[in-house]
Amino acid sequence: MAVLQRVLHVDDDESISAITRIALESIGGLQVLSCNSGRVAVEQAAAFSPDLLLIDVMMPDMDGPATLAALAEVVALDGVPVVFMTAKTQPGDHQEYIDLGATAVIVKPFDPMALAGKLESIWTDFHGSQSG
Amino acid sequence: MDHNPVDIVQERLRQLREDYRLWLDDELNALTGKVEGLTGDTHHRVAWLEVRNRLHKIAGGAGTFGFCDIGEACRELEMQLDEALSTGRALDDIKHSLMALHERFEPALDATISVLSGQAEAIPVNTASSVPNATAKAYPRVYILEDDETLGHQLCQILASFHYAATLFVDGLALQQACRAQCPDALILDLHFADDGAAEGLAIGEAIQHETTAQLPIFATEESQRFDVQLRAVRAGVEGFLTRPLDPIRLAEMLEVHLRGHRAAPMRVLMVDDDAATLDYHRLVLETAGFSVTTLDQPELVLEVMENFAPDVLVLDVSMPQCSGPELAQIVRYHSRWLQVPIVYLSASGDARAQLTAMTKAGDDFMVKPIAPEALVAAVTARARRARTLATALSRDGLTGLLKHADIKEQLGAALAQARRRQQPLCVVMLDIDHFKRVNDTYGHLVGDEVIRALANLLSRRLRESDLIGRYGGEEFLLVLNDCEEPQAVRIVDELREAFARFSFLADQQSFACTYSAGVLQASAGNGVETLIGRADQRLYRAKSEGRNRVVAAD
Repeated sequence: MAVLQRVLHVDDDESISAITRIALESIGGLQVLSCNSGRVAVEQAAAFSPDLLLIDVMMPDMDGPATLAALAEVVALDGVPVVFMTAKTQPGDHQEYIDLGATAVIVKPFDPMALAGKLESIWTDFHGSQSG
Repeated sequence: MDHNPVDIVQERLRQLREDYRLWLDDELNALTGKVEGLTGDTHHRVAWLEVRNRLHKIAGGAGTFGFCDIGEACRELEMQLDEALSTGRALDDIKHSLMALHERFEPALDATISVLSGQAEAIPVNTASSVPNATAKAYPRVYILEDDETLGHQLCQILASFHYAATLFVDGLALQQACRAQCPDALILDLHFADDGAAEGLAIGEAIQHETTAQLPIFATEESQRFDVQLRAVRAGVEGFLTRPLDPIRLAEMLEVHLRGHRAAPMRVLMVDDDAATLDYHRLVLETAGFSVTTLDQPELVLEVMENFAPDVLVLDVSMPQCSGPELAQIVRYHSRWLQVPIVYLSASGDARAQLTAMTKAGDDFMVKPIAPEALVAAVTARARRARTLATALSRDGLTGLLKHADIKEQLGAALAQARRRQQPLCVVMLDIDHFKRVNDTYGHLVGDEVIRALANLLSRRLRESDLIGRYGGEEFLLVLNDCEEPQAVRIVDELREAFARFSFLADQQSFACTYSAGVLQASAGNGVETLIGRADQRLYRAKSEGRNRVVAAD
């Protein structure tokens, strides 16, 4: 199984982008490309060739599900797991994202020290389920 | 993997948190202004939706930067607002809460938060009795809801003697407001409060609990032993339940047991690895989880470092150039002092045979790099906790949790050596409960045990973490006060004597009090452990023969 190395992160909130970078790069040792909108993500995704997409659900203009739909058109991203990030509201909400094609949902607020580990285990589970 | 040095990462996290704090302060202020002019009219709907989105953003972000309470409060309001907007319910209450939001969290935003979620928080309960100007501010704050004022004041007094800052409330609303202004460390509720049925006090507790994010420890007092009341207490997160007539000493003991966990020194981890970057990374992960970490990239220094650091857990890299992890583990195990220390191996390969060999030689756990931060924290926590519990169980007295006879003597020896090296004064105190046999004979051993436990709790609570407390015999205690001169020691032990004498114990519907006598002695050059204890004991004997209930520091 390949190792998780490159994460494309989409979030319009600058402070969340900054702390996510530290959580994944400095603490988790991963490479991160931060995009502040779904549009920018669609433009840059193919060139970056991420192993995993981490997308905030609530963004202006293009929200998480819309971004996911647009990214699905990018051929280079076939088989790349998508993780949604959302502030917790109702427990039922998550299933809706899974139904849209997300691999997992991470609830905000997240602990920056544990974020990389969480993505790594999602990654492992995803590949386990693909090969099994 | 490319890891930044720990301090750089931590500095960046700190800066981000500080930036966020400033932003949040502005944002809450702006929200207050924004909702001020809004009403439930339909043409304000768009503006309310914007407020909702801004609350959503804080709900998702604040916790990540350490402002969990604010995030939770915003999430709550967001959900209420959502519901109100979809059902057309009145918005007045929400508007009111929103406008109070900034003021409510001003204190939290004033203090720079240095703690992330999941990180152990230092709770300032360890107040030094030897420091005369230690302020009441540092004492744990306890709020008491009690409509019997006499009993309430008595309870406050007892808790004050255990160095808790206790405040009595006879009005549920006032208590709720006080909790909003400053959250206490614990809450004591009279469940029978107000005469509207047994659960009234509990309802107030539930309302307060609902408003605070962090679980607030609640202790309940109640006349009946009804199952349904106790079940409701359990569900409301009540930590301790006492039936009346109330025994304040028991209550103080419950509080002490509950808060003691927070006062334990952080677990110590020593990590040996030849790769400095890995060490830095793992150190960051473990320190953030509240561990005290020492790293070492020269295996040959391991025994020296262990001697000074006394780790609870040892984490070893399996392959290092000078010597392997399993070899190093065997060297450590040659020394009986370190037989108990759990050893966790980290290896770059998952080779099952290497793993087996390593574990056969010495070691408790084997982890393959790269390790997810939570996995490392979980493995080390489990090992460290187990090691601590074992060490404590072996050296602590079952009734009091204090050091046992042999262990306090051993630790006195070490303290004495340290005091000499540092040229600091050290005092030894022998202390004995007066007429204890009479207590046992009159009220039985169970009551006697309670008296011993009350004194043990008083001593643990009031002395410094650096002082040593041992149960030397049945009702006899040995204290070692580090960095303390004789006159100061006499003053401390005398203050404690007065506090103990004020305790009132209950047995067979009668109340009684106990006293103690003590002999205090400052160590002088050349005194050995036995001599010191012997001479302190002579002074104790003198205190007894001079009439008991006193502290003697003369031969």
